[in-house]
Amino acid sequence: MDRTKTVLGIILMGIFMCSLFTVQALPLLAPFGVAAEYGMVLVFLGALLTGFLLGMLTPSVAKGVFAGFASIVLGLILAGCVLALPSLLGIAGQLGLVSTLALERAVLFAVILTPISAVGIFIGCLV
Amino acid sequence: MKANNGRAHRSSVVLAVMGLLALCAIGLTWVTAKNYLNASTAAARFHIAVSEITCEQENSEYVLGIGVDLRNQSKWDLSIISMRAIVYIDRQYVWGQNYDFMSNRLELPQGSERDTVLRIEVPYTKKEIVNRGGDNWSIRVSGLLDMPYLGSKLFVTHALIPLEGGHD
Repeated sequence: MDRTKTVLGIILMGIFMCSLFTVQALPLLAPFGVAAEYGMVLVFLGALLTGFLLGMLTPSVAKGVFAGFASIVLGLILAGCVLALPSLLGIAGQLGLVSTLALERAVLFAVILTPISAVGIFIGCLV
Repeated sequence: MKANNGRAHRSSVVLAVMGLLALCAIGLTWVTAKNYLNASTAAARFHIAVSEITCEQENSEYVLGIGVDLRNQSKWDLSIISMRAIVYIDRQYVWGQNYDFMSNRLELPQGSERDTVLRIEVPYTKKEIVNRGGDNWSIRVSGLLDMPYLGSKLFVTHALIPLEGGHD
């Protein structure tokens, strides 16, 4: 039962992180202007919140850290799919909208955000 | 037993909060992705092609003229900030030149077409390569396009084209 809830939590927070990654990658296309200036801050706060909620859901810190990492990676994969939509739908032209730099940044995010979500997990476990 | 119930209740509340966040996230992603697809469609309707290349001799130096066709079939007004043209003959680099339109942008209103000629003054050190000539004139034109909502984006086109009218 615990495992089912953890997996459900990972999926839900993966979807949540995906939206933040998408908004951070395309700040000018987001429906609210805050994203353009505070995209990175939103992603960091999102990772912290993800960790906090997963920490409250999982029985141990170790499992929480793993769950946090899994939801960040899931978010990155989903965001990658959203960013690749024009190519997948065959409407990409001579002009590339997303650079390879964005993909490299995604890998960096996974490395940087995991410790941040771990902080949230510790707080979540303590609550 | 009471502790277990408390824990189950807490898990349910946490899952409910997560579900709510995921729902908001789906809405946010949907709107952003829709704008992104619109922008991608506009970007896909911008076309650039090299139409011709001419070679003239001026004061013992060669001046290459690269004809470029620009088409904007999107619903947005676009403008070109800068361009760069590089010429190769038989896969050998000849010369390249940058064009800065920052102060006087190449405007491309929606549904418009524009032809422009990029002139490259080849230095005398490269005279021999141009003199020798060759059939395979290869041109690479790249540049920065200013798009609404997206800022400046890179475009690039390659063309393998015969020299118009030979060496004038």
